[in-house]
Amino acid sequence: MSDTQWNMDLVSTPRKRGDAVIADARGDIDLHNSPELRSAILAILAEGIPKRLILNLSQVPYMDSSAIAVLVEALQKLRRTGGRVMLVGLQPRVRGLLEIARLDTIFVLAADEEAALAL
Amino acid sequence: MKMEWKITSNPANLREVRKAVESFAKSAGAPVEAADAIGLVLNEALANIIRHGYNDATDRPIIVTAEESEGKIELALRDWAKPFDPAKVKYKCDGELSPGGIGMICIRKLMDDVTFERLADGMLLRMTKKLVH
Repeated sequence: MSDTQWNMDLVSTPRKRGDAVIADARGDIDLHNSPELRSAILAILAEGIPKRLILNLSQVPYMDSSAIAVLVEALQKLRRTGGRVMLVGLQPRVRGLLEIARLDTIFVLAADEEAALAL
Repeated sequence: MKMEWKITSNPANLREVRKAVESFAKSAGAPVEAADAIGLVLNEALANIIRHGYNDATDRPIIVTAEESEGKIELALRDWAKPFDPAKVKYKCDGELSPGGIGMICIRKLMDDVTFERLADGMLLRMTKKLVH
């Protein structure tokens, strides 16, 4: 990965598995720290657009629309090259927001990383 | 039961006031799902004020009031930002790959009554959620 730095309390160092790049996020994400989420994801994508970006959100109890906007931006970038953004381990509030925004069918949702990798 | 929070338009304040209002709602008898919805709506409304009303300035005032009465919770957000016309918000369409207007979608979907009042020097947003339907 590049020298680009981000808040690793919020997003872990990404790891590769096959054609997938996997990163874990943790903690509440709102307008205050969603720019850090964006920086982290853009840094990951700057290394090369993967076929699959798997974001493990199992440690994210809450996110708001600013975080959703970051995920949509990532999806837009991956779609240009036929890639997918897969969100795994969604907690109820995060899933609920995606459903309210009617974006739950645009992302690939999976129970966990293994399930996402099997898709 | 009524509580008030005077905050500045710094996004760093969002989490604390959201959690305080969620706790208020639970104390007032709101089920967890309703309290969570109130917290999300508050977050989105505050974020809209910060981003669009105050253009991301972090030192402008916002007063949040939460009041429980007669089986409902009313949130009031007072700001001194530029006028806001909710009719001009552009909403995303179903299935559209866009985050546009998610905050307003949440406010409209999760609250039972929403009014925007344009004041001489700002806006007053009132949102009500019934605890029993």
